[in-house]
Amino acid sequence: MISTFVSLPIMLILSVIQTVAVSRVTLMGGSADLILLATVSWGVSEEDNSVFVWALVGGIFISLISAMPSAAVITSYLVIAGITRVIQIGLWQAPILVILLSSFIGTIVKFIIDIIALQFMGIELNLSTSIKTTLAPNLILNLFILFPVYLIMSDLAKRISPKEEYESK
Amino acid sequence: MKSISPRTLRNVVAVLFIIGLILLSLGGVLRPFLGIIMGPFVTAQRWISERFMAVYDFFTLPRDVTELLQRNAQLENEVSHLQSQVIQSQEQLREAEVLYSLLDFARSRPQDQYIAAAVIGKDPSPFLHYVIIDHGSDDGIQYGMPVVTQQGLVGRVDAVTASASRIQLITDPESIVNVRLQDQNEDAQVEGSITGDISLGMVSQDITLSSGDILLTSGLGGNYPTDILVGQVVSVEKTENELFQTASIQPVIDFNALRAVLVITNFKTINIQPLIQIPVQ
Repeated sequence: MISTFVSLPIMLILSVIQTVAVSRVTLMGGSADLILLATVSWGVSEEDNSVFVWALVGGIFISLISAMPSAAVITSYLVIAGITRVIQIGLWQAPILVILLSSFIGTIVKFIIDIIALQFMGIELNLSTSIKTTLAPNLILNLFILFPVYLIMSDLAKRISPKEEYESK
Repeated sequence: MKSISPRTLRNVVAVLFIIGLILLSLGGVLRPFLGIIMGPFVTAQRWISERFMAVYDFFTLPRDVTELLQRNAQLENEVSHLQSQVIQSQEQLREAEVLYSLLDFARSRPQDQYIAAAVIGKDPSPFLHYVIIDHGSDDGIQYGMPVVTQQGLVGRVDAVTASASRIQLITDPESIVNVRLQDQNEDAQVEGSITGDISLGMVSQDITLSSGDILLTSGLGGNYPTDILVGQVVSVEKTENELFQTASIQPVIDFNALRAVLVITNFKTINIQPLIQIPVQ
């Protein structure tokens, strides 16, 4: 329950950082996605369905800022949350592998959903160019800040979890 | 006559001897002898002095080190504080320079009314090219208003909240700007792309495009005012069997370094959609 409320300020702060700083640090055409990494990190740190709430909150904040269709943004983060849960259930003994796989697959899935949304918007794009200039840099930059984000989120999860256990008793 | 006592005589002799020695040493006559006599004393003094200073340092130096460390930390704090002040000053200077150039631009076009705004964010999507500015409807900004800098055209207002607005840059894939070639008075269109490059399209094959041609807004379509600099032609792509020729355009603005913009508030955009007739099938 607490994690649901905590997701609001954390995702708000991360959305602001994403818009102000992270989106400006580009490699070719791509940039890191803090919300994606936070969602994946939370999913690995907290072994429950609260990751979907975090994905929803993050998606809503980003859709308020971005010109991308809200449905595409929110859907992509919810799908990433689902992917993280599935991988985590399968590989629960190896959190590092889970976070690496989830962020890797999540970045690709978000790229695919974005491309579908752009097609609906009537924007033409060259797929091979987009993969080179956007997807590949996204993957590299996400990998760069993945572990710092994971450390912060797992620490946050540890601080929140004892209270939740106490409340559930 | 009272005779001089032997004791007094000894004292006088002793005093005379001492005076003599002093005079001889001042005259430098006794230097070799003094060297021989004083040598061991000096060596002993040095040895004792070194040991004493070692012991003295042992007791006093830690305190000095602590003081030095404190002083060092204090000075480092002062240096970092001054460094941050320098950075702040440089930042303010840079902002002032940007604002001065925007002011110059605004003065050069007195017919327009402007609102200056700072760029505070960028669209998180890597496919779309939008920026967020720190002024919104509370400041009089409305949807569709053109956005410029002292260098040229930036884009137009795409979405507005009370305190912030989202600007669609001319590099956005959905952006189309009607332009004219400055030297040839020929109309064309500048289109954005996902990669952020802009290109010139809808140019007739009869026109001779060359590198360096300047592009200005034409005002057609009612989205932008006329005669705002957009960019210049870099390379031309002309294929014989194509209806139009295309060209790569170098925008006049470095969109990655965009810090402040001017929103033209007295320009009314015109919606020409109702005037466009859709062919009946």
